[in-house]
Amino acid sequence: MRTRTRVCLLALCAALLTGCGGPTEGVKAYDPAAAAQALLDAKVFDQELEVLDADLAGSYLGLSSEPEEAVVYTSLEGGYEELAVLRMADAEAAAAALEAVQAHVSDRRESEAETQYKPEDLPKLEKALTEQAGNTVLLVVCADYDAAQKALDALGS
Amino acid sequence: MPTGLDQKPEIKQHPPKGRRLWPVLLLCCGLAAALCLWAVASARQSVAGPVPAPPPAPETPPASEPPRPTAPPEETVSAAPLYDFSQPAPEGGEAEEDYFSDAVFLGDSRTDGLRLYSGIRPGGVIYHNGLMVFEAADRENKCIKGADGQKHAVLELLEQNTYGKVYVMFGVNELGYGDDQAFYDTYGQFLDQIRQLQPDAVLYLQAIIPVNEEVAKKYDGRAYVTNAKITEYNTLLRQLAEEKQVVYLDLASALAGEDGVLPAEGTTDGVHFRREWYQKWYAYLRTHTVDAQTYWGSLSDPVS
Repeated sequence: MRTRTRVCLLALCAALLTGCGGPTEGVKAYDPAAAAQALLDAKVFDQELEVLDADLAGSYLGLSSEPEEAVVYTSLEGGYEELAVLRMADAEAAAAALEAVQAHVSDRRESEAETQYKPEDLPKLEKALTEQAGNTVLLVVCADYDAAQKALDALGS
Repeated sequence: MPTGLDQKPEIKQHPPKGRRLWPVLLLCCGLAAALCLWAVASARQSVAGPVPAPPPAPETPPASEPPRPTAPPEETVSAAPLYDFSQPAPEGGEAEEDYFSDAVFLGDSRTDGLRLYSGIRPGGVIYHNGLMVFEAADRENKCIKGADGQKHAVLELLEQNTYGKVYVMFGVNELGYGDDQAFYDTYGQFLDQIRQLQPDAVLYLQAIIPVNEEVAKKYDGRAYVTNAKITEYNTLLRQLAEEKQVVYLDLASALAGEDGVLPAEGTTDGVHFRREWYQKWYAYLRTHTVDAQTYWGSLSDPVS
């Protein structure tokens, strides 16, 4: 009886650890669809966004490996507001994806500074939110970063 | 002594008159028969056409005489009809999606929208927000970051690959430029440059898609973004397509309403489109393609 109880407790602990810790290093990863929807619902964007076909996410963001899951929204107005939540194969791939996403933002910031196509978007690009959580990566370029952070905090990440 | 009287004078005996005429008559008959045969043969020839000559014996032409070109074989297949570059591409059957796998699209933020939202998967897209044809035609204007991380001119990026089709759309950012002739001339030079860099590609010149002025004014108040100016530019582009012998795609008629205005439901800011309109754009491209053989056969001065 004692042995059975110990085994059950160990199994329960293992299950709890897996659920809380996520795939790597005890950091909770984002659920791409849920995180994206939370940000859209929080109305942190001024521009009308449209979801990208998932197969374009890799080339659009300049990723070196394809994500296992990707939810990417970009501006329909030729603007720079955008949202991406990527689930990569592992934390290492996510680290590489984070670098690529940061380079993507940097390129857009540089390009806008040169062309002055949508100067009102430059401050948004300068504050761009990029983050790795476990094997996931988040990118947000929006009009209201306080509201975005609240929405992300509410996800419990 | 014999006298001269005894000597019978040598008399040259002449044939009788009737016998002397026989050879002449025979000769005349022979000539007449030959004439008849020749006449009959000529008559036959004129009805039946030329009698095929026996194959000529091979002969070496004199050194001073250039070799005569061999006569082309008689054409049995009728030539493909010529493409009329003065007209927009006619509607045809729907091209397969992979038709665009060897196509490159050159343009501005609208072209980027086509790439992102229409469903098209082209071989390449070379674009930049706000890009104008004046910049695209300028090799010194290194405005687009390439895969190598370096900035490149549009033409430099274009020459890095070989394409079967090149689709071009510029003009909406040039509406306030104020020099129609410069727009026409530069666009023409740009098409020439593309043809030089991509000699095996079919060139498509896309009309400027109209805007919704009301929505655009509310959005950012740019007064020069008008459909009147777009119509002027599209008239120039159609002339240019004929002059440069490129395929003109009348996207303006395809995506605007009957009033020539981009419907409000098709746009977010009056200039850029919603997904459905990008899909309409792609659908138009798929049904307005030109057969490459017809295209090449119709060029008066093909590059290759």
